[in-house]
Amino acid sequence: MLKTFQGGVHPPEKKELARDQAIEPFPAPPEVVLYLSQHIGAPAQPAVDKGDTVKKGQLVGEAAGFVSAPVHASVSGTVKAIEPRPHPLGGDRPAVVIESDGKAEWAEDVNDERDWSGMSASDIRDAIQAAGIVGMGGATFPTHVKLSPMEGKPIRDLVINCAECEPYLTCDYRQMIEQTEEIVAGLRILMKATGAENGWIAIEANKPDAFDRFVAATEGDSDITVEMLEVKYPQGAEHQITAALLGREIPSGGLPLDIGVICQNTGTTVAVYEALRYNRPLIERVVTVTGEGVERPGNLRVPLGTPVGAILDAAGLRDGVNKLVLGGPMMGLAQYTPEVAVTKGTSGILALIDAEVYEWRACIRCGRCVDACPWQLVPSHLSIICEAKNLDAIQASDIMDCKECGCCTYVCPSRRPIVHLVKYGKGELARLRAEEENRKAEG
Amino acid sequence: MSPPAKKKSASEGRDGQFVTSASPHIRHGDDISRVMWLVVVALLPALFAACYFFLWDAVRIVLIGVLTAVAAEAVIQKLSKQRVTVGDGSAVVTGLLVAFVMPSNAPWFAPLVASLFAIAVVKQAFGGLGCNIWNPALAGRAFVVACFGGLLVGGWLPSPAQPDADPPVEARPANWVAVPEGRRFADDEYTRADAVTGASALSARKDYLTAIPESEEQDVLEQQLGATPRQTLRMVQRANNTGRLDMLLGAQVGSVGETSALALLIGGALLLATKVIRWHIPVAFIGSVALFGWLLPFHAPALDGTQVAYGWVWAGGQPLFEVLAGGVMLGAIFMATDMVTSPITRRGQLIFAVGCGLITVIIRRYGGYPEGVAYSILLMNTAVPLIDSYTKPRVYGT
Repeated sequence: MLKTFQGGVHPPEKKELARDQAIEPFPAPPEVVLYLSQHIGAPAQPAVDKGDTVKKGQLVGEAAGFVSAPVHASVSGTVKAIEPRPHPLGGDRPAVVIESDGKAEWAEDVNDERDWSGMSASDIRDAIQAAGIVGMGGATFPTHVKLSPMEGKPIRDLVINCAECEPYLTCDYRQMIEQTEEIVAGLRILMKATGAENGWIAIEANKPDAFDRFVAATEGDSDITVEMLEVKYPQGAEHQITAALLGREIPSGGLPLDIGVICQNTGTTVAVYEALRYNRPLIERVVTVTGEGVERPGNLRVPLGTPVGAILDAAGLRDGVNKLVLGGPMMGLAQYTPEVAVTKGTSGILALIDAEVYEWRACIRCGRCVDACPWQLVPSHLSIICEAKNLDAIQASDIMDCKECGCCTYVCPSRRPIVHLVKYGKGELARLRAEEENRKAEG
Repeated sequence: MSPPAKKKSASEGRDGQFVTSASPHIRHGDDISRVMWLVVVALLPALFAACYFFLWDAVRIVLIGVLTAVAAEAVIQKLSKQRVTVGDGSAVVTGLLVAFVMPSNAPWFAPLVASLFAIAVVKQAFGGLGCNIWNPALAGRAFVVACFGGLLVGGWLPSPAQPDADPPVEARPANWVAVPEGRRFADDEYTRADAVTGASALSARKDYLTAIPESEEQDVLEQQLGATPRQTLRMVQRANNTGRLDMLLGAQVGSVGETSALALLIGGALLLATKVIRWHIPVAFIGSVALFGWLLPFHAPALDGTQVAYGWVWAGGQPLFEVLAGGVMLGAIFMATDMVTSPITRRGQLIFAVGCGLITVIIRRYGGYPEGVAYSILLMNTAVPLIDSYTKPRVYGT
């Protein structure tokens, strides 16, 4: 029996579209849009001015505090503007726009080999912080914050999350196949940075070749375990992977840290390796461009800030595409314009044909959402109280335990937009709490 | 000659062409219509069985039940300016189930009134699909029984149940007592007929268990003269003596769609295979009827001098009889599993179904009605919000 978690769904994998396409470098576009906010936390502060000449890897946005991350130039060229641009999270957000000179010249103080084996744990964390590395699975939480030790919470297990449970996406898989050694080295670095005793590489069972490679690459390493997990969405969510792999649940409102675990995404692990080994900041990432609406699906190594439209032009867009999603189909963000640019969290570009706009109906209480919810919530109830704008009920509910994985909405025969309603309910709750804070402050 | 179509660049002129929505962006293929029409398909074996056993009576009742339900839903939605959703099949399901719980000799207005009440009052007045508290079909039946109960007793004993030879008078089962004049071929009460009316096996049993002096059950009482409660119970069992195979296939007196356990089980298997329902409710309902049917004693009367004395007798029950008689199969597979009116968690569904089974047996043994399936489900429907609030699953990490 493969290890797994309770709940979850089995959407069609659709990974065959891009699975066998080796990672190809995507040429630097004439213009890159580097948002100052590509992470959770305070947006970075511009470190350059309009008209400045910048080189590849040069700092263009300075981290604004500890829970923040710096931004680096992904091309060499001239700063054309520092202005708000359409952002994948919606609305326009400040970005450093660089016109590429096509030379791809590296800045002087980066991109040289170094030996990390002599570095201390805190030096490693500093290097990761300086490289601007954030969670590249899509959550974009600054990695150095995640790795920072907390009083009384020793790290026992470090898990490299190679589940890649989102349908369609194959960018992690390609890195597992093509950069197996780098991932294992990245795991070693992360274990050293945190003092974790056990390293884990957790792979969904639909990637047996990646499993074999990892087993071969870790032969003789008694402290690293390669584990196969059942193919089920969301196997790669932190809460589910810790429950499946280690049998430990992250407490409600807590972090993996609370149970002595840190999980890292595959791409993040590669970025950590490259930052330590080659002193390279995070300026590019692997993106899966796929979907039924794409003529030539593939996995591309894309400079950050590349407009999504440029990638779609190169991959070819079929007729009938009516939905553009950044990320996977279960948790990705639908975009209204291809002008948005690739960020540190963009794992996939998904073009869907004839995506339906559903007319939804009342809940028929079939209970499928209850069966599907990996958190054992009652999504039907949450959707009903949010639809009714029943703030008292929302406040009394466990809505904050919902991580919006989308399983409930996927299975709902009434086509209720449960995730949408929950997002709304959380927003109302936040507004209510802010108002209460204000009242307290005033009164 | 039209010019070659110019391929649009992805990055220009696409604004407004992309729809946006919150995630997820893919959905499972099941929707309400598919679920409801699958229930209709699953009811077809029982419908065929009904037509085989009850002939035109079944056709008449089913047509009236379904057409009334669909028309009522369409008219109410039209009048209240809602989207008309009769195409989703849910009104068809209600109409079919209303027909299935009518006796075959029900007057034409019984399914009509029941369907009308089910759709107009129980479903639409409470807010339409998903908002009703009680199972519409069963509430419709309860309403009709309350209004004209006298017209709904008994039913035609379907002809396949007729034995080849006339049984001797002393061996005749109690459900042979009422052969209507008009249906006889000859003066002889027991010459072979196409069909006879009769009480269902459950009604016959009830007659024995509730016989009181100077009532219309005088003939039943006479048989109990000098009998002990245990002997009365033996008479009860003889009265129940419809063959188990006949009961399984459906050759027994009962409502239009409830007599053939086999046909209902086939439909249930389809619903399980297509994941429209889960096993919890049917298994726990049928299982608990069998268990409590075996466990609970009878309260059987015996004539003591001129007084009727009741005594408790445990007879080892008749678990198979209990689950094959009356509406247990129809109720457990198609009524109690109604998603809207049953608990949403699996644990809650088990509690709900065991409650249905227990109340069914209690009504059958000790209540005023011979059959308790409909009321047990309606009562447990009422308890669903309570069950839901006590059976919330433990949230991850709490």
